[in-house]
Amino acid sequence: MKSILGTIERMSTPRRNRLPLLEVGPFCSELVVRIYREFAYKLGVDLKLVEQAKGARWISPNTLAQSSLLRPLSDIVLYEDPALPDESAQYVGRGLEDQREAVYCGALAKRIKESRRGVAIAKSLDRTSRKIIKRMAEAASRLQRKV
Amino acid sequence: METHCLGRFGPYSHAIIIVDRQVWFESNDDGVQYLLKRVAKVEKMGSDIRRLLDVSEFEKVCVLWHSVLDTIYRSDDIHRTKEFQATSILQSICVPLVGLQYPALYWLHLCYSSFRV
Repeated sequence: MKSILGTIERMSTPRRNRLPLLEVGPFCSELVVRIYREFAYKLGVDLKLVEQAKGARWISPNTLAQSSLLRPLSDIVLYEDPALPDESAQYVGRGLEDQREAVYCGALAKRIKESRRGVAIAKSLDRTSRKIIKRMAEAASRLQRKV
Repeated sequence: METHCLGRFGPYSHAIIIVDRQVWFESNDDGVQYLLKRVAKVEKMGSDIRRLLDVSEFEKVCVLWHSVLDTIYRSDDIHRTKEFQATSILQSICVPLVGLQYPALYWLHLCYSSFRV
């Protein structure tokens, strides 16, 4: 679906608007690969996720799933037993969960506020770069006329 | 790492980093962000306690593990500090990425095109 939407967007969007002006992040699997590479570097361990040397952007979730360097933890994925009662009240600290959620939401809000400032800068830079491109085009046409 | 079904070139179409059991980190249509999973149910089977998270939004789930992590994440107390340090490092990498936008569909299209070749 995303691929189809991408094709439509590619055909409908003018070329100048295709450049990423906002703070563009990675794709889902690209994020995983980049973080793991950085994590391995900081830990000083060899943590290769796929056999072939590939750029993070070119590794899909399926490439990761098929990698022989990663093993699936089948015992982690469980199914609920409806016959067993829920013991959450005894074993789960809901207060702690709420606290943790508040901390993460706060950090997220702060980061989004920062990135909005980044977007404003990117937009003003875009106007400037358009002016430069316009002037360069004018200069090029003047040169052509002279020739 | 968490993945779910629907992809065209295999069964998976999404990947997530599991920072902690209940703290996941992902890049989705809303951008790069944390996904906090609450314990949906706790089941007690004798001495075994199973803390279940709700992953019903995923059609197929697979958790992948790298063997190098075996040396870091162990259940004994000696490795707790090492595990804590590793999680802190992982957090320090993740936090600056929060709030980044998901790439434009155009770039995603290019990415898919390259897989087809």
